[in-house]
Amino acid sequence: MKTETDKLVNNYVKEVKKHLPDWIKNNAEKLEDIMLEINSHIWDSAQEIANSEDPEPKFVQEAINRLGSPKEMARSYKKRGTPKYFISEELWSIYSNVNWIVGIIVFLVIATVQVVVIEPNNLVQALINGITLSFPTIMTFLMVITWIFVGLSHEGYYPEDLDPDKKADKEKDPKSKFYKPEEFLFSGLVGALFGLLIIIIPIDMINLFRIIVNFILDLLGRNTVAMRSEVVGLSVELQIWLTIIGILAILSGIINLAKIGTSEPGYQFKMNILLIFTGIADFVVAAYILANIHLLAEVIPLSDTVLFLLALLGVIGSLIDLATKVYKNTQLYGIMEDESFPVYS
Amino acid sequence: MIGKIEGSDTSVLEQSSAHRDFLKKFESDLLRGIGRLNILKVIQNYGKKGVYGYQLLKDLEEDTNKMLIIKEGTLYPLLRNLENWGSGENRLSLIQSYKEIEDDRMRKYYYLTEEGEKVLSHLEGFFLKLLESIAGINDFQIFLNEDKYIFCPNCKTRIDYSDSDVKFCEICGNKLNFNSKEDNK
Repeated sequence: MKTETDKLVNNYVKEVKKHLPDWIKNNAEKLEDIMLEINSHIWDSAQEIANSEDPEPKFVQEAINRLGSPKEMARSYKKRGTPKYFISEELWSIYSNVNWIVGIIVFLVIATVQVVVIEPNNLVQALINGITLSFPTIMTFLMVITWIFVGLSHEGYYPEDLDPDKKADKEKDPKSKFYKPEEFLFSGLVGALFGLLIIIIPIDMINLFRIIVNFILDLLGRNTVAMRSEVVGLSVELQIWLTIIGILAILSGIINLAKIGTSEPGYQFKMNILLIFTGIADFVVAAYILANIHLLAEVIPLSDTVLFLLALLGVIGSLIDLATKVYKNTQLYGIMEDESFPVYS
Repeated sequence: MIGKIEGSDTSVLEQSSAHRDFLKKFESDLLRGIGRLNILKVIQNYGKKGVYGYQLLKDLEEDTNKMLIIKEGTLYPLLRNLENWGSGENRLSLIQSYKEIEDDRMRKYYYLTEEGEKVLSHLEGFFLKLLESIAGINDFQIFLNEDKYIFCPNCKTRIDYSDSDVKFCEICGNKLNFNSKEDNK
């Protein structure tokens, strides 16, 4: 009988745990506390209902029913924070700061391209272009950031729950090695921004890339006349491949942003599978470029040997990236298999 | 937060869902604060030893003639909120907890912090003075036991009259006059 009642209680506690928000699940001490209070409450309640020290399963079940469904129970732990529109007041200042920072970065990148590459002799026009072009990109990011913060507020996050420096907790929980929201946010935003820019303004991006390469080659004293020229048009083939690269970058960015949602190993595993697919696609693109080196020559007019080496590096890099993703996901799968729940008696 | 209020039969209003929804929301709003106040009061009654969750629920139910019943599933998040209210610099800890094994079972006990004691004195005083002020309109009487307590004239915090060492209100800093109760009304 004891085993049966223990099983009932542990199953309930396990289900509640599954539905708890990540700011609790990522804090081993908090999680243990909650599991303990629910567990001891069920036993106190069951003993009173049964009027016995060793209640029968039906009394334990009644005590569990009184607490409500695991989902409801977990939901009540999420009710934290002061409502302010759809984003809590506690998260509002971070939300506002992130929007400002992203907005400024997007504007600076686009405006720099306009000032340095497109309209170097007409500052006013360059700034007008910068504002016009950055507006839709900033709006897209505003929507993505708002969606993330509405989700975080709904889950009851406080600013300190987003603190990446909770080392003590991280050491206790092996899952946290695979859940780094700040890293996902950064990779997601950078990936999506890069993808959007390479699709919207491919020529400007190539010219900006050339300026950076020129600067490095100047420092090395190896610059060529060809490298100093500006790109004014692209072949259809290169445009198609740049669009494919852009779409892949946006997809990876969106997957990384979606990974912020929850640290649940099962969810992270599925998201990583999607990232592995984008990794395979990246490898295919890199291999295609290696086989069609003229595409790279359109971007940077260097000698065939240098271009071949660069393309080869691209292929090796994408392979290493793919292998790392597969390896990490295998480890995550191991954690999913080993995951155990505390058992109280 | 409040599970049900016994003796309140709202079925007669079932013909109008607007009435029902309004009453449900109104009662819930009204009882949300009172519920917290009484949770703090029950915890205070157990002193530094503190009280565990289930006992707290039972006391609340029995001491309020089953008027104030907290839904079991919402008690612990509420206690967590009182233990760790706010964030960053706006943080308050009105209660604290510790774990202890009793009858072979680990339990979590909650007790009032010094800060919690002060806040509770204020909340009690404010609530009682509020009841006193609306007693006339609502045709009921209230006994504030002013032989034992005085109320800060500024913020209404309730202060034990026997504790004559207290010269200032701990909440608002207002100077208290123990010699003239009228001054502190």
